[in-house]
Order: sequence, then structure tokens, then C-alpha cells
Amino acid sequence: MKLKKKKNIRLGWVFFFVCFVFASVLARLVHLQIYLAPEYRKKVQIQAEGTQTIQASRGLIYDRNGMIVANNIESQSLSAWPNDKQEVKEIASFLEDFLNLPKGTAIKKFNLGVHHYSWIKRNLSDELASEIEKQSPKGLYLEDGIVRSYPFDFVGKQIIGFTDIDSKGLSGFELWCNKELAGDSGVFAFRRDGKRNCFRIREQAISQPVPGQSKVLTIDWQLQEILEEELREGVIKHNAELGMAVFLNNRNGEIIAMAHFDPNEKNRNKPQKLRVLTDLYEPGSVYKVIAAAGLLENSIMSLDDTIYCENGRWQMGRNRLRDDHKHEWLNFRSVIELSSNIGIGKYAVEYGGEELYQLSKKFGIGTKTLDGWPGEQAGYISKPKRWSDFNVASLSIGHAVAVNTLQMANVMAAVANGGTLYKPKLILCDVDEKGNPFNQQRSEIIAELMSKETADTLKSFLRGVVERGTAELVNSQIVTIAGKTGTAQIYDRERKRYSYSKYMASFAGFFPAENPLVTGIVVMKNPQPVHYGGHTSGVTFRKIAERYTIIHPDLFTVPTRMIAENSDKIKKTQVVPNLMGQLLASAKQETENKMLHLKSTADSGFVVWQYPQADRLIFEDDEILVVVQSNDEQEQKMADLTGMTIREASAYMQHLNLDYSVTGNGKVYRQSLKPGAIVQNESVCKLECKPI
Amino acid sequence: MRRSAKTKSIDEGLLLAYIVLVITGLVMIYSTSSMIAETKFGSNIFFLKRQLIWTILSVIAVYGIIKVNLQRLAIYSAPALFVIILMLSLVFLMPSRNGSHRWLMLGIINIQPSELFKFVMIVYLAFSLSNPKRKIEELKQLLFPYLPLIGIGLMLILLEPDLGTTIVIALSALGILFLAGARMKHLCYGILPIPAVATFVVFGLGYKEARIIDYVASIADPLKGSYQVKQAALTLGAGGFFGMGLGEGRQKLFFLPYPHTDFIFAAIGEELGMLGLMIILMLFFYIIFRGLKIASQQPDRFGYLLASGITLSLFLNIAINLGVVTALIPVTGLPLPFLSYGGSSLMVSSAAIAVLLNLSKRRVKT
Repeated sequence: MKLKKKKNIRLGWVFFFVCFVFASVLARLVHLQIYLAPEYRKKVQIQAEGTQTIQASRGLIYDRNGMIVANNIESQSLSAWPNDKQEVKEIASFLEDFLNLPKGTAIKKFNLGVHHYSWIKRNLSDELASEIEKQSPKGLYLEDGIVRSYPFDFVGKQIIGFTDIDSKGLSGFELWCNKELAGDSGVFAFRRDGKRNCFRIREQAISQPVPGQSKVLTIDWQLQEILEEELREGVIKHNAELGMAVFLNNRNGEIIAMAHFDPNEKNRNKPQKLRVLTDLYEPGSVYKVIAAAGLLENSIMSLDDTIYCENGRWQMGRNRLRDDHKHEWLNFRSVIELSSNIGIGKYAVEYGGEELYQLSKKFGIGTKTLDGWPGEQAGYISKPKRWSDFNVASLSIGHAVAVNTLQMANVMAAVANGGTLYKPKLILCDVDEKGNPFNQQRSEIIAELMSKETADTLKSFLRGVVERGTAELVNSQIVTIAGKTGTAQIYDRERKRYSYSKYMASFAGFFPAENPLVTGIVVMKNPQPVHYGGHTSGVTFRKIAERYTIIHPDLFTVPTRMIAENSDKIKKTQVVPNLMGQLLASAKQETENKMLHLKSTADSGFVVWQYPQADRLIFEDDEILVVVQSNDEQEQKMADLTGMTIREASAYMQHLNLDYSVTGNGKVYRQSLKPGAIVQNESVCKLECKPI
Repeated sequence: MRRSAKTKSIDEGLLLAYIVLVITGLVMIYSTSSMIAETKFGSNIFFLKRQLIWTILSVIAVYGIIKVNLQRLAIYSAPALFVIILMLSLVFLMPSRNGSHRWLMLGIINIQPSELFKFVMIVYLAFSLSNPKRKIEELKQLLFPYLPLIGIGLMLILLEPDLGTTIVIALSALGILFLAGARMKHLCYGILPIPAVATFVVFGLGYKEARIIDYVASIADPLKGSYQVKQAALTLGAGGFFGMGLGEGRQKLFFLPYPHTDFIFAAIGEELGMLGLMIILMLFFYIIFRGLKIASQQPDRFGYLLASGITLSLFLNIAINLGVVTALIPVTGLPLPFLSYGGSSLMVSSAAIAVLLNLSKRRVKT
């Protein structure tokens, strides 16, 4: 009995122990499966599930004529994701053989490791990719991707900008509009196991990629190329440190072309700033148009009044205002045409500092032009606590104010169109997948700045600047140009005063002067040895204006349909070959090889001149014009210009360094210097043209 | 003085719990092993097929054991124990699997002598201790012959190495001696050296030292433990209360180690949730409860010791496995009775149930 009792007591102890253990386990389950469950579930999800993004195709960029200027091409990239050490070894030895690397370097170079994902090479050529596909070991993968391509190379590249290897905008328009261009990438969910094998859970992606929005720029690529070419030539010719230029349609604010050229910029193949927006400068005399507009609008003086210009030196207390050329009494027209600082300064003092300050603000100084453009500087006007005469005079001649190039062009555009300040526009419209434009951007008027009468008066002054003022070299036979020169001293930060040897030379103007269509500005920094705006930037402006006029593009229409959404369907560009000195037959051969046509002035001989010049970009099927002479002729002889366009003929005249005049429009049908005549420097050639 | 009547029927509740657990085991073995089987052996039913064969063999064994007269068979337990000790020495001649010598590979079937030792040792102890001549209260009689006989067996199993089974057997033996009425003082002599020896073995010899260090860190935060502990805890946590659903577990895909054997409890926890695990815990508890109840109802000392010993070893097996999987005790490789994949384990667990069923026929109502 006693034994029995002891037995049950001990069984009881065992049972108690059993209960304790089960209770402990149950408590632990509550801890793990209820208390910690949300956290643990997330962790398991992270280690067992993953997502893969599907790249959306990036929106294309067109120029205003419907040419693709930024395109997508498919490419393959090589990546490694080895599963075990054996695969790491195989991949390493394959890569060492394939890429001719020294033995034993591949693992380190490409950071290969078990279950480690690494890129080997992005954007392989097709041949390389297919070769790798044939013989690559396990653990190496070829992945499809999209890379950006730019059919026009560096033309307009400052505007378009760059993307990184993952097609994400890094600079320029690609960055500015990245969100819209990029679209939304899609997502594929996959599950993986502890050995890093991945498998897709569903056939369909969780979300499909939404392609990016294609955009049409207001830029005309042909005009852009002309601008870049002339700007480069001008900067080099005048030994400038930097050239900047912007041309826009003054009737609606659409930017037609803009670029900078920096001769010290060696590597164009990396993201650049669009310096016409990001660089500020003191505009100098060009700024006088703002003051002049204010003075005329408020009738500060009558047009017949004259003002004493202090013989070039106006002392105002400790400060002094100078003119480049000494003047005594000038009327207001002459003040503008001859760019007298003292004359405009004196009137501005009469007008008032605060008024001039407010007017400048209204003209958009200190306000950004393209909202959100990466790095755009708004510029600024210094506003003293009390306006002294010198402060007012300084502002009126464009000192103590900083602007970007586009702002200044837009100021001039407002004068050109009769007083309306438009918001500069870079996007013309969007394009749908079929190539049809939609969502056309309306021109936005910021302010009405002056009456038509004021604008007309001012425009006649500005025409005078070119006809007989500081910009006589800008006067063109081909197109009537009006505008204002600026030759501003550059502020020397080290010496804390304005430099006497470094100038910002600029010319802002518009054409045709009678009925302005295009307004532009050319700015050069520190041109040497000639530093006057009228002699440097002005000449470049004239050349650009002439070439624009000759081409006469359909600047002001929106294309009804983009040329093509696919790069195969648009014309390819070709680099113009150098045909100079070649026999006509071989020149013909070379052009045909490049899918171009050759037009010659004679049937045989050597090429002595070609248009366009070598290294320019033109479209396939375009024509190259050559002038040929037989080799025994020493003197230059006049070629037969009949049938040439004005553009071609004027290029040839410039080549011969001949003065010439053009009447009519269309193609040349008569020339005063007959074909075969020996060309002398003093001869003048009259060209008569008529439409065909 | 006849206060009780013999009942002829077996414990049906116990049998039912056993059947439910084995069927659950088959389902979960398929769910957790199919991916591994497919990858390793090219057939997703590789493990299921084998386990099915073992289940059939186990059912036959259960049927057989229920029929036999255990008391008569128990006479042979002493010589059988010698044979098994011989087998335990033979495993060292076998090629190692996963770094240990646990299996005796006899052509078509592989058996674990340690499992047999556990089972036969309990029968032997029950038989030997029920001898009326034995005076369990005396230390001399307690030490001999049990200490050398069991000690050698335990040493061999520890050397395999198989710490988990060693602990189960040692604790089962101590438990039976406790239930047989050995004096607590004497039992303490046996228990006290264990922590000392364990400390020396672990930190002196460095045996599984890393596991112990992992363990200490992992009790509070299982994620700080070893990979196995971490994955087991994550697996349980991911299941939550209701589970991911049968077959929906993600951890069995090579994250959780041994999802169909030692860590099947965690894998079930992910798919069937805490709800499923509570049902399984109830079944386990019910089996242990019935085992102890049967023990208390035995008319003689042999039945009492055999039933309680068998129940105890079954319980220790379950407790240690669950402790490991829930990161409560250090990792030792031990299958979960009835549920884990593995022929020897199923066979021995089934035999244990069969013995309890057999003894349940001899219950007396008190």
C-alpha cells in the first residue's frame, strides 16, 4: 500500500514535468507565432521573394521637324550570378580567355562570388553577344536592355543631355523631363529558394511597364547645327574663352536653337551644363534696350531733345562714367545707335532707379525661364537702399545686373514683337505611339511691356545701330538685321574692379528688321584682340541670320505627323566627305558610296570647292555641290552658278572672297561674272534669281 | 482482496491519436520533402514512398506486438542488449553520414542500433527491476549491473556522435529508476556529475561549443542564433496563427534545413500555423497522458515500469525535438516521433505505442 502510494506520487511528479514542458512549448509558440509573427513573416518574405523591374522604353525626343534626335536601341548586357565555387572558377577562366585578361585577375576585377550578382559588361555589340551566347559557361547571363542613341552625335547634345547606363536622365532635357520620358517600369515578382534558384510565380507581371512620353522640342536641328558651327568658328576666330548663343521665335517664344562653345572643353562625351541657362554675365549695353523702352514709354524726353554727353567722361562724385567714343550733344536716337553710356545714364537718372528696377523685373530679369531646368540661374539685379545717380546710370547700361543668355534674348524678343514678353518654350508638343502630335504647348504671355509705337520707335533705333551705329559690320546684304551691341567689362574678382582688358562682347538682335521673325543673341567672353560686340559676336550673329534666312525653314508650323517612330524609317545622317583636290570621277564614287548625290559645275576636272564643307552632317540622298576646274588652270575661274540655290551660290561667293548681291529669290538664273571668267578680288558679282 | 477487474479492450483513444499523427506525418513529409526529393533524386515522392513502406512495416509490427506476451519476451532482453551493444560497436566500421556513424547498413535496410538500444534497454530495466529479489533502495544493487551495461551503450552512442539520443536514453533510464522507487539521494549521484561532465566536454574538449554559444544568444532572440535556429524560428513566425496553407510554405525550399526530418515541426508550423501545431501538441499530450494512465493501471510492477518507461522515452524524444525547433534548448539532431521522415524512428515510436496498447489490455480499474 505504501509502495502503491509512492508509485503514484512519483508518476504524479512525472506528469507534472510533462505538463510543464508542454506549457513551455506552447508559450514559446505564442511568442514566435503571434508576438513575433509580423516581423518574421516580413523577413521570410524578403529572403524568399523578390521583384525584378522591367525597364520601360524611354520616350523619344524629336526636333520640331519630326526628326528623331534621341532614340532607343536594344542592347545586351553581360552579368554573372554563379551558384557555387565551381561556376565562379569556370566564369573567371572564360572571361580571362574571352577578354584577354591575365590569369587569375577576373574574380577580383568583376567581383565574382557565389550567389553574388555582378555586371561584367554593359551594352555589348551584337557580334560579341552572339559569340558569348554560343559558348558561355553556367552562371553567366545575357540580359536585354535599352540604350539611348543620338543620331546627330554632338549637335544639340547640350540641350538633350545625357542618360546613364540605365537610361536615367543625367543632364539637359533628359534630366529636366526625366520623369515623363522615363515612364513607369513594370514589376515581375519571383520566388527564390535557399540555393538562389529563382522562379517566376506568375506568367504575368504584377505591373506592366508604361512607356515614357515622347516629346517634340521647339529646336530645329538644322538651325541648331548652323548655330553651333558659326559659334565655333566665331569663337575660334576671335580667340574667345567662351561663346554662347540663343535664337528664338519672337512671335511665340519658341526656342529655335541654343548652344555654347568652350574651346577649352576637351571631353564633350560627358554631361555638360547648358551654359546659356546656367552661366550668368553682365549684359552691358544690350541692356540699354530696357532702359530705352522705359524712357520712350514714359516720354521722359522728346525725340528731338539732345543731351550733353560730357565728352566721354561724366564725373559723379567719386564715380565716373565713360564712353568709348567722345560725344558732345546727341539726340536719343544717336545715344542708342552710338551706344553712349553717358547719354542713356543721364536720361535714366531722370527716369528713376526704382522705376528702372521694376521695369527690369517685368522684363524677366531675375526670373527663371525654363522652370526647373537643372542648374538654371535666375540672375539678379542689385538693389541699393538708396538709389544714387551712379547706381541708376550703372543699371541702365547693364552693370550691377546678371542675366543668363536666354533671358537677354527674350528681352530683345519682346522688343522685336512689339512689346509682348513670352515665356521661352522648349517643348512643342507630345507624340503618341503612332507618331501623332498631341498636347500642344500653348505660348504663354508673361507681360505686355510697351505700346506698339514705343516698340516701333525702338526697333527703328536698333535698325540704325546696324545701319550706321556700333554694329555696321552686322549689316547684311541678304537680310535686314536690327539689334544692339554690348561690350561689357568683365568684373575682376581678384582685383575687385572691372577689368580694362577683358570684355563680354555681345550682340542681340532680330530679323527681318521690318517684320521680325527670329530674335537671337550671341555672346563671347573675352575675345582678342578685337573686343567690340559689333565686330565679334555681331558678325557671328549676321552669319547665322543669313544662313537661317537662306534656308528659310518652316519655323512656325507644327508638323502634322512625326517622320517615324522607328529609327529604321528615318533618314540616316552622313558625314560630308572631303572631296577637295579629287578627280571628279573619284569624288563621284566616294559620294555614291555614302548614299549621297554629287552636283558638279563641269563634266571633268579637279574639285576646287565643295558645298557643304567636309565633316558636316547631312542626310542620305542629299546633294553635295562641287566646283571643278581642269588642273592646268592656275587662276580661279568663275563657275557656272545657274541652278544653284542662293545658299549654295552665296557660300561659293564667300569662298572666292567676292562681293556679291542677290536679287529675287529661288535659284540663280543669271550671273554678272560669266562662267570661266578669271576672278579678281575687286570684282563684284550680281546674281539674279527666280523661283523655279 | 480483489478491487479491480481486468479489461480486455485496448486503448482506442491512444490508437486513434497514433493513426492521426502518422497520417499527418505522411502528408507533411510529402509537402516538405517533395521539392528536395525532386531536386536531389528526380522524383517528388522519393521520401513519401519510402516512408509509406516503413509505415506499412510499422503497422505490421504494431499488430504483432499487441498480440505477443511481453512478459515472456522480456526474458530475452538481457542477451538482446548485449547483441545491440555489439551492433553499436559495429557502426564505427560503417562509412559516416553527415559526419556521424549512426547507421548500420545491412544492404537494403539501414537501421540505427541506438534506437533499438533505447527500446530494449527500457524492456530490460522494467523486467529486471520488477524482480522481487532486487532491492532498488540499495546503492550497490542500483549500480550493478545497470551502470556498466547502460554506461557502455551510452558511451558508444555518444561517440557516434549522437548527443540527442544519448540524453534521451540516459534520462529515460534515470526516469525508470525514479519510478521504480530508487532513493532520490542515489539518483542525485547519477544526475549531479552530468552538468560537470557536460561542461567539461563542451568547453574543455570544444565539442559542440559553438552550438552552445549560439544557444545562449538565441533564447531571447532566435535570430541571433545559428542558421538552423534562426531559420526554424523564422519558419514558425512566418506561419503565424493560421499558417500559410498546406503546401504554401516557402522555408522548406532550402532555407530551413531538414524540413522533413528534424525540423518538420517548424515546417508544419509555417503551413498549418499555430492552430495546426496546437492540435499536434494536444495529440502528443494525449498520448503521453494515456501512457502514464496505462502505467498507473497496471496490475504488476513489470507492466507499470514498462509502460511508464516507454512513455517517458517517447516524451523525452518529443520534448527535446520541440525544444530544439522552438529554440528553447541547444540544437541536437533528433527526429520528432510519428511525424519526421525516417524508418527507424517511426518503427521504434510505433513499437512504443504497440507496447502501450498491449499493456492497455491488462489495465485494472482502480
